[in-house]
Amino acid sequence: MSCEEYRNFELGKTDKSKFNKHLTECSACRKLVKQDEQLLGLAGELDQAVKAPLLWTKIENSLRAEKQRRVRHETQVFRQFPMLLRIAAMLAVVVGLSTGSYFMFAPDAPPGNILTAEALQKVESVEQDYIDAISELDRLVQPQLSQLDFEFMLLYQDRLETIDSQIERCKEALENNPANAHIRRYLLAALQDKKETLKEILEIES
Amino acid sequence: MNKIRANPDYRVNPVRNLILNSNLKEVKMKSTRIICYFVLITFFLLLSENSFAASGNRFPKSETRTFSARIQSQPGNTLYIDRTQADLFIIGKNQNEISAEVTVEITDLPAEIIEEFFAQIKLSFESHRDGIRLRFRSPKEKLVRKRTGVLKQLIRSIFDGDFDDLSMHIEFRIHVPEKQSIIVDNDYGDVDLEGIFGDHDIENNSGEVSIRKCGGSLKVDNNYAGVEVIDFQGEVSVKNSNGGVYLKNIGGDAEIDNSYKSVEFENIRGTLTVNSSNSSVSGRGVESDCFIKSSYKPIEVANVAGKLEVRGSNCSVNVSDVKGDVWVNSSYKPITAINIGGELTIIGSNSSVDVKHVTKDASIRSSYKAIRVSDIGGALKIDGSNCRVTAVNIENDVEIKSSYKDIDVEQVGGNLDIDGSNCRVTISDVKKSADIRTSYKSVSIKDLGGNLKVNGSNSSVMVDGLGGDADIVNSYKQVILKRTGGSIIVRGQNSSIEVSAIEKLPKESRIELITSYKPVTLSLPEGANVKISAYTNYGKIRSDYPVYLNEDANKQRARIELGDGSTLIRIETSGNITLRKE
Repeated sequence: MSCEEYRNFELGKTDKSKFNKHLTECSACRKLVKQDEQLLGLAGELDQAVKAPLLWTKIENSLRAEKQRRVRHETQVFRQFPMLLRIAAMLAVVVGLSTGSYFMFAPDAPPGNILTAEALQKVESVEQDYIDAISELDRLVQPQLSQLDFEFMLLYQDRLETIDSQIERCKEALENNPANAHIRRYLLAALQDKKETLKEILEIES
Repeated sequence: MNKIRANPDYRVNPVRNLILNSNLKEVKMKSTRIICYFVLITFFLLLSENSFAASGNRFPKSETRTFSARIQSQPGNTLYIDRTQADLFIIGKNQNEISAEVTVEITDLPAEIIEEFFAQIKLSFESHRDGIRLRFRSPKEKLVRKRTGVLKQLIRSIFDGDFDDLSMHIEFRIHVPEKQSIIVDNDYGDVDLEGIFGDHDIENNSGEVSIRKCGGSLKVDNNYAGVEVIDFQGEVSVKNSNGGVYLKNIGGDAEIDNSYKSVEFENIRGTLTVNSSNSSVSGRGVESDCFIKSSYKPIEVANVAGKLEVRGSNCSVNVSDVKGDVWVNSSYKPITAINIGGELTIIGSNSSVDVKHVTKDASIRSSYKAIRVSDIGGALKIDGSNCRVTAVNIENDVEIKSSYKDIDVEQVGGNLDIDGSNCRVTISDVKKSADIRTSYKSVSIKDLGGNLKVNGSNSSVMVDGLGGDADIVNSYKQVILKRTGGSIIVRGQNSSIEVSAIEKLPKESRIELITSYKPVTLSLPEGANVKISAYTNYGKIRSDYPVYLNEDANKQRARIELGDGSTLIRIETSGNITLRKE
């Protein structure tokens, strides 16, 4: 036989007086109450837990410490990993930025033996700049060249003639071999030389 | 009924929840961070990858093919490589064949044009004169030959098309027997020889020439680029217009002819001749004679076992450690010569000159700049116009001519001759005699061993220590003599004369002190044997000795005789005369 009254009493749904009155009528509930009493008796023989002072605080502290240990343990990998990640990320950033910058902003790779169309265009543009500069300097130098000391005049005339003949030879060679980097290099060197020589003459005068 | 209920103080669940919740938050944060890093890394990797991919577009595009040929060749043959526009690398090997590999690089054009071009390339060897000739034929070459001359435009129009826009670069790698002569005629390429012994003739234009560990004889004619010859066992001749030259460890004579770029040399076992224009020349170690000519740039030479000749126009010259004679001619820049084993001759115009340690005679000429000379083992001759002259420690005779600047001479083992116009002259420690001519500036002499002759117009003369006789002519400035040891003759005009501390008055010696308008003071040592005749008009005669005085109007004449009167003393002036006893 089962009875709900004992359960209701335990759950607080039935008050004590009503339950006591029920006990007089229900043997099942009386049996359960007797078992309770026996359990309580046995419990009473156990050592009584001593209520330690600051018990809750101690428990809280130990729990907190345990938490920290656990967090530390659990985040150890994360701690290492993020550091590695950071390092790797930084390296990736540095490598990526520098590589990207190098290829985006660095000058073109040194020319090989044959210039590409793009490189040839650039070189011809630089050559034209030199030719323009030389033309301007020549205009300034010519009237003054004859007024130099005779020895200097001969010296510079000879030098300019040598450079001019080198420029002509290079241009002739380039007519049939326009993208040959070697010839272009020497033409550029000769143009540079001529410009420097004309500047040198002007500096003598000044 | 009381049950064993949960201790209300033991709040397990909330704490556990707290811990769990904390971990969860952290994990979320960390996950977010990881995701962010991942995104960042991926982004930059992609960026780099794109950049790398993009960079592939920057490298020049061209097509390259290699061709080869070989032929048997006995050691001692000649290999001809001419009419090429290529980089040439020629290496000597222990073999009896010539093998050539040519790499042809051309512009990137449509495939069929490239194939057609390469198909027409021929590389071969053929007999030529006394040797073998390497022939390289390409369609481009044919076009170039055909385009010369008047028909250039017509040919261009006929052949206008496939190969017209084609550019080419050629590189030869050739292995030859170690004993082989190489004759090259090349343009617009670098030429490199290594380990080949023979009579080599390299003509190149606008390319570097490098010859290493070769031997025999070498002739190089290049321009507008450098020539380098290292470890060559034999004679070398290099012509390089507008190009630098570097020679090192040359077994025989070396000859260089270049312009506008530097010449450097090191360890030449034979004679070195450098004929440069506007080139700096520097080097050390020539085991025979050395001849250098250049202009407008510095010349620096050291360690020459033979003689050295330097002709520089507007060059600073620095020579040192030369065993033989040295001859230097330059202008407008300093000249320095140190440690010369033979004779030294310097001709400078407007050049300062510094000379130290010359074993034999030295002769120096310059103008307008200082001349400093020390430690000359022979005689010294200096001709400086407007030069300040300093000469110290000269073993033999010294002859100096200058003007308008000071002349200082110390420690001369021989005679000294100075011709200075308007020069202040200072002399000390001269073992023999001195002859000095100057004007308007002082003459100062200390410790002269022999005789002294001075002709100084408007020059004061101070002598302290004279072993021989003094013969001094001057005007308008004082003459002071101390510690003399011989006769003293002073003819001054308007010059005061003072003689004292006479160390020696030899028998038969005499003292003549003649001047005008200025006083004469003579101090005689104790025990002097003199006969004095003193005369003044308008002045007074004072004497520490008893004197026989004869007065006549304004004139005073005195006579003194001391001892045996063996030394005659004559004093004449229109000023005062003072005779002192020391």
